Order: sequence, then structure tokens, then C-alpha cells
Amino acid sequence: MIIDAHAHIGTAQRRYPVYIKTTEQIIEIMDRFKIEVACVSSLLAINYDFLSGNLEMRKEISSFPGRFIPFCVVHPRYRPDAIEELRRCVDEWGWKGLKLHPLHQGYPADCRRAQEIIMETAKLGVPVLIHSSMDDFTHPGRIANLADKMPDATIIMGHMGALGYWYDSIEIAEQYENIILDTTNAYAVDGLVETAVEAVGADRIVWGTNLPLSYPGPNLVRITESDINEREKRQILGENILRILA
Amino acid sequence: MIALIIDAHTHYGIGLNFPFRAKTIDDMVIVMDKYGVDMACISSAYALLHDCPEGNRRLYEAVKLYPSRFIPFCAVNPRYLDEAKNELRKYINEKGWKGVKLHPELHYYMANCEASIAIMEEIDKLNVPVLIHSGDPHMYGFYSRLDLIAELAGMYPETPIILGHMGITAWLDAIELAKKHLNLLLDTSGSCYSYGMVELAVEELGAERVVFGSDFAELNLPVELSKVMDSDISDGAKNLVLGGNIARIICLKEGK
Repeated sequence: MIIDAHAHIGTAQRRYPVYIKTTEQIIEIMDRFKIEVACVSSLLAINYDFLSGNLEMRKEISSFPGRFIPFCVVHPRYRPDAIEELRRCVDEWGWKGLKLHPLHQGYPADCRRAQEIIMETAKLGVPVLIHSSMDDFTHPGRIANLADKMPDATIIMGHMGALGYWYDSIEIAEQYENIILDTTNAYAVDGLVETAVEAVGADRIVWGTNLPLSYPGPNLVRITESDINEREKRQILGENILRILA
Repeated sequence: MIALIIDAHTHYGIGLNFPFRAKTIDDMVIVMDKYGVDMACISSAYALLHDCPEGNRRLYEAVKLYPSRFIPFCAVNPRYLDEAKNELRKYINEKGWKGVKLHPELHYYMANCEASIAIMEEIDKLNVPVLIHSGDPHMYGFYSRLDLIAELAGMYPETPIILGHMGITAWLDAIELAKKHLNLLLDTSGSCYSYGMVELAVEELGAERVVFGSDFAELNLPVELSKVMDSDISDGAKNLVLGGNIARIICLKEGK
């Protein structure tokens, strides 16, 4: 069973024109690539307003039961709504995780308020998916700091440092067992998956498409065509994220 | 159906910063065969990371084994201008190599600096395309900013300039600059997978101006290939992007 650990719902995107515009199109693409379920967070919530964004996504995914696993987005510095919204999404709506995008949302990943909200995910027993890339706000070092301070939190390192920091992410995951590496839009360097599996084991790696913003093929092919065994592929393609969310 | 796949951007020779599963030219051919890549434009990683003459020499030895699979590009460092001119003479004029590779980021020079312009002057006379690395100012594109390369394109409108990685994350700007400079071609290699990138480039510029590249063996060949394969463009357009265009650029220039 193929489960996408990192996708989105919505059309809010500042940098590029959005090509895939509807949730129906996302479902069509998922079907084409045999992706049964996708963990999703709201682009509107990430880019602008988390309260309306989460609500919009709730409505969008309601037409496709069983296809999406919703992650809540909050801005940690917008309080008290942030903590209340996280609790509502998880406790009342049954959502399965938290998504933070410190770069688009505009705060350092390991700032005090982010730490407080991540502490709350640990209490609620849900993972947090955090964007990481080649910038100061989401530098892998900051994610490492979070993992160090909160060993009870399960931290999925989105994009595993993106282009420049793919290897740093692996080194950090070697150090902190509560870090899960997410290969979504990681650097296309040949041997990335193999290197990560060798360093931290296949059970701590998940994959995702970043739909609707990215082509699904490159991210899927990165796993399916890698030199790892079939069991390891199954773990990365779905079993791990199911275990993390259980 | 895809007629012919020619990868416009590959490198030979390992660097220590990447895992490099394909360590030899034979390994590269095995991977190309597996994914149906017929030919590849190739330049030396050793030249870009260390020593151009030695890198070009090693590439010359390696591709001799597979004359029908590789289209060698001569890598030069314009900061070593005499050496660079000498390399061009040796490989383009004498050995018939088909293009030039410049990497302002790895060689630490502004893409529009005097030395860069001096080498472009030579390339322009040689009538071959040049593949120039490009990036985003905050991502492998400080020295290789798109607008600096566009300046070169304006100065040498007869020389096809392939924008390596089409600006990485700055691909929208790459498309915009290519609209202004008709000698710019966009190379899809690199790490931006934005859905709609290939579609928009083809729509705005025409499929004739986009070329598939992988940056293999540094980067992952099937991953880079699937970006073009997934894109929602016609089969005709796909054929041009996957090989038709680079074949045209190189053959046309050969005919001159």
C-alpha cells in the first residue's frame, strides 16, 4: 500500500503558478500513481490563515473519505488560537499530525513558541512534519535542536534539508532517534535513499509527493528505483508512516 | 512514442561530496541503457572541481570507448584564460567536440566578468553551444545568476546558451529571460519538481527551447527523467524536449 506522507490541499502558493487546481485532480493523480492515501495539510493555512485553511481543507477532503490523512497547520506565535486549534483538530476532528512551515510562516523552527506547540504534539501523541531546507529559519540544525530538546516528540524532517543539506539531515537523524527523514523534494543526488537507509535504517524514512505543487514521479521513482530491498521499499512507501500515525 | 532520448547534461568522474553509484563510464552506460537514454552530452566533473586540462583528457579517454553514446563538452575555467583557449582549440577545433561547459559557481567567477566575456568571444567564433550552470541567488546561483547569463546571451545572440538547471528554484525567471533572448535554452536538470514547470516553459517558449538534462551521475537519472515524462505536454513536444532539440542544436552547428 502506497501512502504519501507529504502532500497538500489547496491553491495558495506565493512563488509559482499552481497547475493542479482541484482536489479532484489530486485524486486522479494519486490513482494514476497508485497512491492510496495521502497525508495532507492546507496550503492556505501554511501561507496565510491557518484557521480558515484548516476549515477549507476539512471541507475539501470530506468528499473523498479514506483517501486523505489530515495534518493540522498552526502558526505557533498566534496564540492562544494555535494550541486550541491543534487540540480541536486532533481531539475533535481526529486529525493525525501537525504541519509547520517556519520558512513561509516566518519564524525560526526552534523558537520558543514552536517548541511549545511541538511539546503539545508530544502530549497529544501525534507527529509533527516540519519543512527543512537551505535557509536560516528551517536549517536542519534547528530541527536537531528541537529533537534534542523534545525526545518525546516525533519529528518528520520534511525534504530532509532539501538541496544543500541532504547529508546533514542524515547525520542529524543518526544522532536523534525521534527524527524521521522525509525524502519529499530532497536533493536528487544519486544514492540519497541508499545512503539514508544505510545510516539510519529504512524504518525511519518516509516519502511524499508534495502534490499538488510538485510532479509525483520524481519523488516516487527515487524510492522505487533505489538499490534497497523490497521490504525496505514497502516500509518507506507506506508502512513507516502508518506506524508513526498509529 | 519517444523517438530518441538525449540527455543534455551529464558529468563523468566522481566528486567526493556525493555518493556516485555510477563510478565509471561503463556504470553510466548501464544506467542509461536501463532507462532508455540513447546518448548524453557529457563534461568532466574533475575539470569542474579541480583541473580542466586533466579532466578533459580523462573524459576524452573515457568516451573513446563509447563513441555513439556520448557527446563530449569541453569544460574550461575562464580565469585561466590562456589555458581555456588552448583547451577549446584542442578539443573543439581538433577533436571535434560539440560544446562547451562553464560553471561560474564552482569556478567562482561572476558569469558576466571580463574573463567570462573573453571566453564567450571564443565560443562564439567556434559556433558551438555552451552549457552554463545557473541557479537561484540563494541556491547555487550567486555567481551564476540568471540575469548575468542573460547579459551574455544578449552579447552573443548567435551562440546557443543552455541554461543548466533552468535557474533551479528560479525557473519562472529563467522562462521570462528566455522569452527575451532567443538563443537561451532551458535545461530541466536539477532539483525543482514544480508541477507545471515543463508545461509552462513549453507554452511560453515553445517546445524547441526546452531540453531534458539529468546532471547524472551526480544526480539520479530516472528521477530527473520522470519530471519530463510526467509533464502534461504533447508527444511531439516531449520528443523535442527529450532529444530532438539538443540533436538539432549540435547538428546544425556542425553543418556550419
